[in-house]
Amino acid sequence: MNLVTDLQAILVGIPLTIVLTLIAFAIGATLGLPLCAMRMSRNVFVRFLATALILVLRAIPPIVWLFIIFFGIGFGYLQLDPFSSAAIGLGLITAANMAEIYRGALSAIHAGQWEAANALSLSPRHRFIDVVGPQLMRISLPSAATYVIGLLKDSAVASAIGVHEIAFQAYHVSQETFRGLDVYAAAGLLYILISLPIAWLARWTDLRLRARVAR
Amino acid sequence: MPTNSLAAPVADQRADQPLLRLDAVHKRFGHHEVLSGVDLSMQTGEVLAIIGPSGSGKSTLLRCINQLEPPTEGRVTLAGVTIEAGRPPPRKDLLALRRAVGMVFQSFNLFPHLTVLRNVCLAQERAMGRSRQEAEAVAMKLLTRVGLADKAQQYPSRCSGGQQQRIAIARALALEPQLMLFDEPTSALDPELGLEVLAVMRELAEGGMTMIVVTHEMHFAESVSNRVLIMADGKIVEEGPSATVMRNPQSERARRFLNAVKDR
Amino acid sequence: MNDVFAFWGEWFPTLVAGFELSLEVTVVCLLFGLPLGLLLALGVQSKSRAQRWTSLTLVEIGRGTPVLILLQFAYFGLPSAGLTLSSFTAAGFALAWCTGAYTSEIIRAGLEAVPFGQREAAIAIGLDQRDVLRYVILPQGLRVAVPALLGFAILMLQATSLCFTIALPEVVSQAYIVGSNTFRYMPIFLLTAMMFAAVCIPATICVSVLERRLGRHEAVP
Repeated sequence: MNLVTDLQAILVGIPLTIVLTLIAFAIGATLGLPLCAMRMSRNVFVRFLATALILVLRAIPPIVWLFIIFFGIGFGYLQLDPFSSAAIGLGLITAANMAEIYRGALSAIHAGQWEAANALSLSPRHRFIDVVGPQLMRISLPSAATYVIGLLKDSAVASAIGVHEIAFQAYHVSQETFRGLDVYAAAGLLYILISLPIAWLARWTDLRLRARVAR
Repeated sequence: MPTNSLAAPVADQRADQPLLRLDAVHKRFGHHEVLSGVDLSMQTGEVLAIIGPSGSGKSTLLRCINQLEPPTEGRVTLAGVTIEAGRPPPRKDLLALRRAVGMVFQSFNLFPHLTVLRNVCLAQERAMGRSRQEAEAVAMKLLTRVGLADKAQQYPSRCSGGQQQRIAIARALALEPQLMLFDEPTSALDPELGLEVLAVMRELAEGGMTMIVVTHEMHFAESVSNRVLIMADGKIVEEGPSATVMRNPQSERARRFLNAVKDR
Repeated sequence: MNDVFAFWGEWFPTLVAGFELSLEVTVVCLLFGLPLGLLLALGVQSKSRAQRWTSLTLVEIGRGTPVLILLQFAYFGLPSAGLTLSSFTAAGFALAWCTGAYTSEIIRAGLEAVPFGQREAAIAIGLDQRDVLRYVILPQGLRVAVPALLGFAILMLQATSLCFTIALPEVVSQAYIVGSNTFRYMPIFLLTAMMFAAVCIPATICVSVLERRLGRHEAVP
């Protein structure tokens, strides 16, 4: 057992970290759309419900949500494995945050876009798909990318309910070898390295989209 | 009291020495040359107006005098102390220079988080070492002089633009400068509010303050200043007594500019 | 249903004791982290290369590493280097580092939001660099940063929930113990969630209101 095997043991956790982040983001980015629509609904009751939901999802620490889903729901009512619990928990929190990001992006889209789309008699569906949607995606992209990097780091909480991702591996290696300093430094560095391609990808996509959806 | 020559009383200066001298001053931002060789000389008590089209380098010239923008080339001499381009002066010389030169900005730049009185006192206490009582006494006298003593305890946001600019003038005067620079002081103001500011400036000039005013107010330039400079494309294209320059410009460029403003 | 209320009543004091500790850790991390954030905000713009690089490194690690890793590094990692910290100290250290890193960016943005003319005017009236910062730039810049800083403080309170992994007896740790003893995980974690919500939701609303209020009193240009 030496530093190299320690490192190898930690690297084993990478796939789960990445997959968990991606799935949670996929859930959140998707659910965030109807949640945002509800948040901006003209119906007072619907709007209140969505606002309360978003507020509650964001006010409670992720680990508590994961415990509620895994130990609470997962043990009694449904059988949920640690990974699914983590994915659902982080996914719901992401949905709340993405709803707010979409809301910010929508308010940044020039009011004239809606009027122009209406003047061209586009149906609401086409208005969204062809006019508002693409702009929404482009404007949300920077905030969403920042959020994904945050989500990557939040995925570490899944280690507390037994998901064998990077933080979990780091903990167990450090407990076995007592080389905590190197192990945790390596784990931390790993997270930073993984976040770099996300930042670059976001910038590249932003540039590409800017060319196609120029304001 | 600092013994640096810039803070010395004006009387110590030889009568025939200019208060301010600019020698071959150039200012470049990257590849863009904003000032292309400016020479200037000013006596104590003179009032100089600088006019010209936008982008001619008027504001930059002012900023080179108090080193807000250090010149790329050339020399600035104020009250016997010279600052060469490319050779950064010691900090205390720079601070003394800035205390000897007061500046009034187009956007006033009053400190919004301080009361009017504190705005005028801050530099006195920190840069001149005056006690709070001294500073407040001087401040109240200056505020009375510009007609705004009653605003002392208010915040700038509660004052009109014209009032804010007059307070800015009081703030600059509080340091007892030898030279006052005005960078388009009324351009951001409604004409009526601008009048009250011009009145204060006129009174200042009549009291013997050495002033350089960059302005678009042609009437003010002609009536209050001794000399007028017309700048275009980073150079001085015309210079002379105000009446002569304004009525009878010699250069083509100056003539073109003056005709353009006359027609407005 | 009554059963659940009775359960909550029985374990409420235990959770509250834990929550008090959560609040204490939050206060400590802000007490050390916010000044650190100011130092780092100025440090990353320093003329000294050494200061700049040190500050940048501290910020990038504090921001780029998950809080959980920072916590476990402080508690499990440092002992290998000869420095053994208690749970509370390790938690304070790690969270203060995280706070300093994130708030340095918030403060930097606040300082940059101060109009450039303010700095020019301060320089023109002969104030030296230190006084320009102290009397003109910081008062205005920090005011701009306050809502974001308060929002971050709320996030730090939530982050203390991770301290149970380093044996700190804060609220989540207490809830977990109760849960594993009684097997009634759902009710106890719901109670924990409600405690956080009871503090964080009003706090979030207050910050939004504050943000809107501060935006109204903009200085006249």
